[in-house]
Amino acid sequence: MSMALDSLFNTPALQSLSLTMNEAALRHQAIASNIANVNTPGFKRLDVSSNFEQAFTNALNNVSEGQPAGEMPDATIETAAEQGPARPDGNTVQIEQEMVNMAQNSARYEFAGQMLASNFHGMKTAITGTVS
Amino acid sequence: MINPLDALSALTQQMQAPATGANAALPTVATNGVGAPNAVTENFSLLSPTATEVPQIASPTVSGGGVGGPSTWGHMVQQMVRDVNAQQQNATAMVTDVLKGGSTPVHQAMVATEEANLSFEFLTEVRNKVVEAYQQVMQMQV
Amino acid sequence: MGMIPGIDASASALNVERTRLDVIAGNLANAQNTSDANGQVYRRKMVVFESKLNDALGNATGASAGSQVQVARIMDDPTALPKVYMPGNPKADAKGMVEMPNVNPLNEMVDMMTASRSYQANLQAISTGRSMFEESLKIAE
Repeated sequence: MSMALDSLFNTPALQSLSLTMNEAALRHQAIASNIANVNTPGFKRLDVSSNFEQAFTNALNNVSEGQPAGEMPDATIETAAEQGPARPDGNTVQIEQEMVNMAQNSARYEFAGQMLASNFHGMKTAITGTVS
Repeated sequence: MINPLDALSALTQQMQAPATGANAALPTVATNGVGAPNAVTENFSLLSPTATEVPQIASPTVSGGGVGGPSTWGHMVQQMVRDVNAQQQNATAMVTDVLKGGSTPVHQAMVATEEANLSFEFLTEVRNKVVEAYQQVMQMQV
Repeated sequence: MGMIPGIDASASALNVERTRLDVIAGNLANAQNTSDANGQVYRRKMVVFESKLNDALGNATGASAGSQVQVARIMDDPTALPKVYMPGNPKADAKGMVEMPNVNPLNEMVDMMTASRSYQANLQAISTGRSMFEESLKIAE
């Protein structure tokens, strides 16, 4: 991309918001899988892979310091490192915890989406010179 | 009397210097004879298409003096047009992937679409400002 | 994955819980049935779930993108059949004891509530995913 377009769209705000949305969408899939499997014997709860989570945190740090975000690994889900107590059938999913996680995660996703929307709206106003 | 073509070549040379894009320095008419024979060969054709499928904002090609390096105003605008086109195609590809049920997240396609639209609007504004500047120059009383 | 995140997992769970509710309804209906289609005493049916790993779409490494759930099998409950003293019953044995189905209505009701709650939780997951999707549409106005 040319210099002008690059500096328009690679601001720390836009990049970190976009990364957050990626991560939150992935986490929602993990939570939905947990909720779906709440009655499956022997099921251990899933979460975003620690590989991806680490890369995400690093990318956020890089972006806030003005450096490029770096390559993100494949978006994968794996068995969570922290498992709660298992019920007699071996299932470790706590449905209340998953519902709370889901509410918090979706709030984060929607917040990032709203911030992106207003960011783009501001840019549009700046570029066209008229408030729409 | 000031030759309008000389004035235009001076304008484009001034626009090259800051290289910041749209609202470059206001055109000042210089009465120096900047290679008068060369100025005649200038073609400042803002509104005529230069290539095939790209949304067309044609660029002025300056052939005056020794200022034909890779960072001329014309090259910059052409590069921007290519970049905007690439962005639009990338956004369309992402949207198609979402529609086909592929692995692209929806918000990524939305962000790409919005960025492509904004880039295009930005380019349009650049063109508008350049045309405005040109018209201002042409309207000057000589 | 599609536009609504996690919908595959939640939809599979809705199917599975619906199956379980059907099985529970069958158990309750047959709680006193001493002669089913084969002439045997009705045995309580149980649903066994298992999870099925998703593959991320088009991902050659087979990385997991979550997991769905499916019914592994519907099996008969192997616990012993209770015997009840009913001397007048045509199926009574020499001592007048009749084997009854091993269906305990209280257990079935508890299972039904569990299935119903899970169903609701999965509906909530789909609804949340849907509102996340709608929010992402607002990025481009």
